[in-house]
Amino acid sequence: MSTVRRSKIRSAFSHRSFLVGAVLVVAMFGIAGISLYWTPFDPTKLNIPERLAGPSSLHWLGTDQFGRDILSILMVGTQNSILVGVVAVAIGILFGVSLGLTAAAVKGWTEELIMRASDLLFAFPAILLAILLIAATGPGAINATIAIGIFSIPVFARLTRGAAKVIWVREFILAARAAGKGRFRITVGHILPNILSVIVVQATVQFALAILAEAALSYLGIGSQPPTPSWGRMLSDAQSYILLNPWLAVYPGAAIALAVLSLNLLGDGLRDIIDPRFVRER
Amino acid sequence: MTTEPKMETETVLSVSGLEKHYLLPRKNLFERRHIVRAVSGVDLSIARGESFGVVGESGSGKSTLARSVMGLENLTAGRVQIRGQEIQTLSKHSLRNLRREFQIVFQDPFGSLDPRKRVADIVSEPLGLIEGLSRRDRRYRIDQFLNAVGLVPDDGRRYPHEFSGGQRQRIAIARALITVPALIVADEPVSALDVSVQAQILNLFRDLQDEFGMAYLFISHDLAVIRFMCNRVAVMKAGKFIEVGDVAKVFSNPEHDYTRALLDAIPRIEM
Repeated sequence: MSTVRRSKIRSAFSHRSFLVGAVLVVAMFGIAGISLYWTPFDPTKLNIPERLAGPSSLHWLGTDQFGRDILSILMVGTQNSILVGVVAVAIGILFGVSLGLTAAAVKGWTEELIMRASDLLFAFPAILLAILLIAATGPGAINATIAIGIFSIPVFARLTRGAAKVIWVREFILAARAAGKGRFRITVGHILPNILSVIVVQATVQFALAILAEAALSYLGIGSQPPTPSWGRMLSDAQSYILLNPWLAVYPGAAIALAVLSLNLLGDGLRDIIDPRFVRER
Repeated sequence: MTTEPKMETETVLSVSGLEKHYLLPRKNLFERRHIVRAVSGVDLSIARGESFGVVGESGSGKSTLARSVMGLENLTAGRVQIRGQEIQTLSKHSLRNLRREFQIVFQDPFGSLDPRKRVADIVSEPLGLIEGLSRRDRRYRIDQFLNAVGLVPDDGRRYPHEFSGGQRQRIAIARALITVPALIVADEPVSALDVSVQAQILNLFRDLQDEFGMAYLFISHDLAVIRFMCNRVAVMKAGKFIEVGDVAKVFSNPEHDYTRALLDAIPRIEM
């Protein structure tokens, strides 16, 4: 359609980190999708005689301490990570972006209150507070997700407010006010569309952080509970057998690292591509 | 809407005792905050169909005056009346209703158009001020005013970045014009444009005035622009009008030394 848009799409494909990130993220979602319907073995089926087996043509990545197929657990574990990531980021965006937009639009006392509250939340180490929150509400994937989501609220609130304030001082906002639009309609009609790209980039980064946080909480035993397969718990299970079969720890570790890396690459790529200077510089 | 009879000499804009002060941020904790008197004690009135120019160097308070007239600033003191209604005391609803009578064109044709909106949506933004407009009426008006400023209806589907500075200013003018206001405030509307494009846009302003009969509050630092556009002119310095009068008289026989200095500063081609 528009020439700039078309050249943006073209440059997106020539941007290496975007391309690699996008392919890996799509692959991750693909694996999660496939695992909903098919895995090489039932990831919960025990097979004690074949426990701690090495890679074979039957079990590509070997088996764990209960003889379960590692590839199958790993595949199903992707679902868990994606689900936690998506829901946590959704919570963060829903509340964080609304609060940030409100702060930028209303200013004065409301802005101070919102920003100081998010500073307060921001000041605590996230994982520590997530542990505290889970200690109060009980372990489980849902509580872990909520806790991770809550801690991404101030990130989005700050980012949104900062970006929104830049837009608020532009002349087309004055024009909108001269056209009789109030703060709410300006926020929805002009501010949000202009900062959406910034939020999308941050969302990919927060997605990666959420996956990491979920793995950490599950490793500590307060995230996803058995028998739901989870990368973090695979890691903690592997700990006891690290000398017998170190690969048990390598697989989930690599999966977590790869997921985080690919989301960060995607985010970096998006940031470059969305930046209007990008097209002209290349 | 207004109760007074519409006469030839109806006053479209009347400003009296306008003051706008800004508090500068503190340089350190114990210092008193300094006050900048951006506009201090301005009176003016503009009749229907008249063009009133305000000329002055940058920082003289011209843009603050423009925004104050538009009701986009909280005034320190004074009154702004549009067609006899004081905008500071109107209810939100009544002010919204009145806004169709006064619109603004800004200096920067790049900053004054939302880059994420299509031209048709930008131009039609003030149509929200007119209740009960059908989709067809909207569509018709958008096309009508895109034509009026020298664009084509197809341009409505495009985005601002696809246009040149001059064309963007045409879009901004169409937006200001679409409610057929009684007054258009033009805040340095050509100073960001190439000289060759300036003349086109100024001619457009004049043609549109002939066609639609609105009054202009025309703000510029460029005396030539004011001379071309306006009947009356005010010379602004440090927030005050130091000289007001007919353009011909002020420019040929300035009373104030500052005006004379401004006029002398115009570069002339000597042959």
